[in-house]
Order: sequence, then C-alpha cells, then structure tokens
Amino acid sequence: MSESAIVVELLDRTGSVIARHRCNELPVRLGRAYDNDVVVDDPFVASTHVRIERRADGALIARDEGTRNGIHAATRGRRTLWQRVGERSTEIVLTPNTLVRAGHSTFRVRPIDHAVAPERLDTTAHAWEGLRPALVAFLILGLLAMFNAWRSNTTTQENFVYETNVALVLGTMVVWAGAWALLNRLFGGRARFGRHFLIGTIFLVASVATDLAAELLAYAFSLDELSRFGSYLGLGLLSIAVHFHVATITPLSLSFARRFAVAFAVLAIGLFGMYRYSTEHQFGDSLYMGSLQWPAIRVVTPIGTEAFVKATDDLKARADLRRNDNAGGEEY
Amino acid sequence: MTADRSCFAKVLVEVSRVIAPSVTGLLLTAGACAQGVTTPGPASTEPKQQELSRDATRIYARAKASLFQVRVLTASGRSQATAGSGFVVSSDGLAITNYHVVSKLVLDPSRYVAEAVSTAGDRDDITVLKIDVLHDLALVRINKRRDWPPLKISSKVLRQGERLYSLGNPLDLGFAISEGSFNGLIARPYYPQVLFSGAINSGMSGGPSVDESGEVIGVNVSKRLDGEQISFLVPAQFVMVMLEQGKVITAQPTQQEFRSEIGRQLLLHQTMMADQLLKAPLATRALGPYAAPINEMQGIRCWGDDPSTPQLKYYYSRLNCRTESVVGVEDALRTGFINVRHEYFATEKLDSFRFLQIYSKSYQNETFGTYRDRHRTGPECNDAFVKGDNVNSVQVRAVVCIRAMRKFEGLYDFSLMAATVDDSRSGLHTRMDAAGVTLENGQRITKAFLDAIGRRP
Repeated sequence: MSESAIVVELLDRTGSVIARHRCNELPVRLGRAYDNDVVVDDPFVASTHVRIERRADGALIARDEGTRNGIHAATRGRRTLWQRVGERSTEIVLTPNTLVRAGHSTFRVRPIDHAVAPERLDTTAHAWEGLRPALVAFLILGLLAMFNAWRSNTTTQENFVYETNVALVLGTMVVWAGAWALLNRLFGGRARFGRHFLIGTIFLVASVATDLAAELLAYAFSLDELSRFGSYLGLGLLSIAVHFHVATITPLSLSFARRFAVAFAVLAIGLFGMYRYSTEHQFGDSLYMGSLQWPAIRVVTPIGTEAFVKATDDLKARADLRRNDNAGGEEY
Repeated sequence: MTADRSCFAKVLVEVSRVIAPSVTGLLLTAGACAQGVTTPGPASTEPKQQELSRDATRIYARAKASLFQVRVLTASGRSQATAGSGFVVSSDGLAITNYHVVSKLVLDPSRYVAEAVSTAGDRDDITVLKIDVLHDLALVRINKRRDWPPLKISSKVLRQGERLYSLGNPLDLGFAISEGSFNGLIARPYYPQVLFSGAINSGMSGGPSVDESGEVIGVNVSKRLDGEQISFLVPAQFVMVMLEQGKVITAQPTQQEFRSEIGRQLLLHQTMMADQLLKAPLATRALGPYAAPINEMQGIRCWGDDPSTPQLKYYYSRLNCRTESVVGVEDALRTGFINVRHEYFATEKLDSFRFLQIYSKSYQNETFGTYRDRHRTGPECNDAFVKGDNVNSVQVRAVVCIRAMRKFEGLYDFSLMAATVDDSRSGLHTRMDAAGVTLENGQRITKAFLDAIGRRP
C-alpha cells in the first residue's frame, strides 16, 4: 500500500504549492464533483476531469476523462517564472516534476518516497524583526544626521539645522524603507519594515564613510579618479543595499537577490555613465579632484610648475582633435 | 573699469557681475543694442531732438548727405538682423562703420548681406573691404555710385570740453544728432578711445562724431550702461590708418580670408596682452598671510570685496581683476582677456574638519564650459599638487583646463584654478582665465601665476 501511495499537489500560477492531498490507493480521481479524491474548485474543470492510475507497463499516468478542456502537460524550468503548456493529450506520463494543467488548475503528482532537499541552515536572526532593528536604525540615523548638521553648521546664527537635518534624514529613510516594506508585503507576505529600515540606514552610513575615506585617500595619493568617480562607487554601494533588501523579501531564493542586485548595478552604472557622457562628454563627476584635506596626510610630492604647464601640450593636442567635431553645433 | 562695447550682450552680464548695484540698469539697456533693434521704422530725414542749438542744426545739415544707416539683412529673406550707422569718407563711396555692426556679414557672408540707407531714403548694397576687430572699425564700399560728399577726418587735437556732435540712427528711429563734449582720450592699454560726454544709443554705432567744423573726431562705438552720457568713440587716427590700408582693396574678401584676418588680429592682440602682463615678474597683493599675484598696472583693473558677516564662523574676502579690453568677434564670442579671482579663506572659530569642507566646496565649485559651445571645444583638464619656483611659493592643488577656439587655429582659452594646501585653517584660491591665447603664452601666464602664489615674506 505504502509504495503506491501518492501525493497530489495543487500549485498556484507561480509554482507554489497551495494544497496537498495524500492518496493511498490508485486510481485517484480529480474533478469538481465532491465524490472525487481530489476536489478542485475551478469552473473550467469537469465534474470528473482526470484519473491518475498505473498503466499496464507500470508507468504512472494522468488520463483525460473525456472533458471539454482536456489536460495538458506543462513544464516549468527551475528558474522560469512561466509555465510552458504543451499540446492537449489524453494521457500524460507523470514524473515527479511533470505539471498537468486541467482547466485553470495545475497539479503534479509525487510518490510519497520522493526525496526532499536537505534541511537548510537557518541564518535568519528572528529576534531582529520589527521594533528592535527599527530602534537601532533610528539611533544610528539620528547620530548621522547630527554629524551632518554639525558638518554644515558654519555660522553662529540661531537656526534649526540639527532639527531639520534629523527630520529630513529620518523622513527620507522612512519613505525608502516604506517602499521596500510594501514590496515585501506584496511578494513576501509581510512588511518587515524594521529590517528594511535598518538595511537602508547601514547603507547610508556606509556611503558617507566610503565618501570620506575616498576623499582622504584621493587627497593623500593624488588619485583624482577616486574623487572624480565617486558617484559610481555610490551606485555600487546602492546595489549592495538593493541585494539585502531583495534578500529580505525573498529569503528562500538568495540567488535571485544576487542576480537582481547585479542586474541593478549594471543597469544603474551603465545608464548613469551614458547620461554623464551625453551631457558632458566625459564619464566622471567632475573634471578634477575636488577635495582638499589636511596638509599632514599628503603623501605625494608636488611637481614643479614647469612640468605642470608642460603637460598642457597633451591637453592642446586633445583639444585640437575636437576643434572640428560637430558637437559644437552649426559650423559657419 | 571696462569700457566695453555696449552692443555685445554677453559683456553686459559680465559687467553687471562686477558692479552689482546697477544690474537692472544694465539689463534694461541690454535689449536696446544694435543687434536688438528690429522695429522697422520709417527712416526720417529730420533729426528727432527737439532743442538743438543752432550749431547742431548747421552741422546736421552739412553732414547728413554723408551719413547713412547700415542694415545687415538675411540673404534669404532680406529681413533686418542688425542696424547701425556709417559715414562716407571718400567721394567714390568708401565709408566707415563699426566692425560689430557688420560682424554677422563678415563671419557668414553666405547668409547675410548689407545695405546703406541714406538720409534721403535711398538704399544701396554695400560690401565690406577691411575690418579691424581690435579697434572695432570696418571699411565698406557703397556699390552704387552716387553723389556722396565725404566727411573730412580730423587730425586736430581737441581740448577738453570742446563741443562734439554725434550722428547716427538711434534705435532705428530715424537719423539724429546729439550734442556733447570731448573729454579726452581714456588711457587704455592698447586701444585708446575718446570719452564723449553725450548720448550715444545703439543704432548710432558706426556713425561719426564731429567737431564744430564738421570734421570727424571719432566713430561712435559704445557707451557705459551704468553711467549717464558716458560714451566712447574710436579716435579718428585709426580711421585714417584703416582708410590708408584699405583703399587699395577692391572686392569683398572671402569668409576664409576674413576669418584668417580676424585670427591674425587676435594673435596680435594676445601677444601684446601677454607681453604686457609678463614684462616684469607679477606683483602680488596681500590677502591674509598670502601673496596673491596680479599686476594692476596698465590695462588690468581690480575690485576687492569682503562679504564676511560676523555670523560666519570663517573669514572670506576676494579680489577680482580683469583686463579692460575685451575683443568682441561676435555676440557670443568675446575673447582676448584675462580674468583673475583670488579668494582668501581663514577661520579661528571653526575646527579644521569643517573649514576644509568649506574650502573644498569652494574649490570644487568651478566650471570650465561645455563642449556644446559653438566657439570653443570642451575643456581638457589636468590636475596635480604643484609647487612654484619662487622662494615664497607655497604648495597648491591646481587644475588647468584648456579649450581650443574652433574657428581660430592656434588660439586657446586657458583656465587655472589653484588652492593653497599648506594650512588646514586658512588658504587662498586663485582662478585665472586667459582667453584667446596661444599655447605658449597660456603656459607662460599659467606658470607665472603658479610661481607667484605664495606666502608674504
């Protein structure tokens, strides 16, 4: 008995199981009528639609019980979101991964000894949901906003620079995390706002810190590229943040989050670079290194003025090449 | 202060930056420069001014046969693009006007033509024979022979206060005469002009200013938009030179010939400018403990400014300098100048972290133009830590950008931005722009400034 017992799994459009029926004996009948072994609530399914049985050669099959809409074998790649539906047939050989579509319903049949994936290690910090991460993020954001306000406060006038900064930073982060929470609710079933709030905050702190570090490094070693391409560094960081947000939404498919983040990075950096080039004819944020830091951290030795102005020979050659390009608009 | 030709809109903005209080005045008048005149009005033969002295009546009556309006028209539709004035200097129809009146035709002869409208209303086509971009003069020929009585070019030396009469067609309203007085030559480095205390309005550009005897003392060229009755004339001596050189020319040069002539004149100008600037080591002005290089000698004027307020936790002052002459090739192409801006920052109340933020922000906040400019390529830049050769030189972070002039080969716009980096709570920013210079002169000027940025001994 037990070796012939099967499980009929009804799937939704995305491939997730919505109901499981264990049936100990074959044949199994599936249809809309209440006398079936598996009852499907679908107006496009006949009273008795499918009969699951063993053929003479021992193969497990699904047989059309003479319905209007018939049955179709459908396939779903491991990574494809959509089913590919085959031709209508009267008899479909069932493997554990064969999908059968009857009307608008999809099911698959697995023997009860079908091997399941090993238990995955749970790395989710379940205590870090809701209020706890939100409070920590709130605290960090407050400090960051205070730091920003202090940084820009260069007058002795009474102003509300601290208050406005805190409000602005918090407000922006609430909107950002709120958008992710909405997506999370949509695709993951719950909002996880606190988590998204913390992820956004960590990203913000990281980008401020990276910015400062890049400026210091660029200044110390005269690496103007580091300073001039800061936006790209920022977009890279943003992609990492996007990875964590998406992973929070789909904790079961981390590879999806990874692929999504990589796609995001390529698209964002590519589009940004194209936009920069089309408006400025160059990719960098600016034409030169802009940050000036403490004299003491400077490592490189200065060049002489003679060498510095001599280098404009190259600039001249480059400019000369551009003299007749059409970018300058109409030519007289 | 710059005595720029009022008819190049760009400079109005430049001037207005320097002298903020009169911005409105400048901009209001800006619309009324020669190029802006488009209202078609009947060319009246009578002067508009109500109360003319008897002398003015006599002078206008004598000069009106030699006077005409210059109209530059589009070749396709013969609609008016610019309007100015001109006057005949030889009986065979040679005449003088301003370069800026006919610049559109000179730069694009395939798209523009020019005509002369006499005080009697006769219209004749004119050709441009010779141009002087630097003095803003053009020698033209009226193609159809008529009975043109030439005006005599004066070689007299006038005394200050003598009466002058300026003639032309202001704002395309009709021919007019305005009375004023001669106030001497203003000392400008290369191209002296007569200071005329009387009204010149746009449209009168290119018209003659004559003395009591009806001889030409100068050619109306510009006025100051921030002053009243402060106008400028090109001295008659340059008209004579132009006439002497140009009377042998018979046909209008081609666009290419005109362009290389303008290039030649720009080259000449920048050589003079660079030699003048660098004939002695650059002098310096004190800004805090720093020595800010600038030669405020002939031709360069500076204004200081100290916008710090007690509420500010840092001190800030600046010094703007620029050459008085700017060469206007066309509306959007003004070149042949040097601008220098020094900014000094210092703080006692702020920590170095925040001071350096402000200091960096000001350094970053520089623009060098875009590749979309019709006249110049996009900027090509280099930056580095640089130390000058002088004893007092301090180390700076500097960026130099150059742009090639698209139409004039061998001429470039140099821009230098330098910030001293020897202290974390004070510093000097220097921005220097040298427009329309050769590579060699650009390099010389840039090096001179970089070497001279230093600490006061």
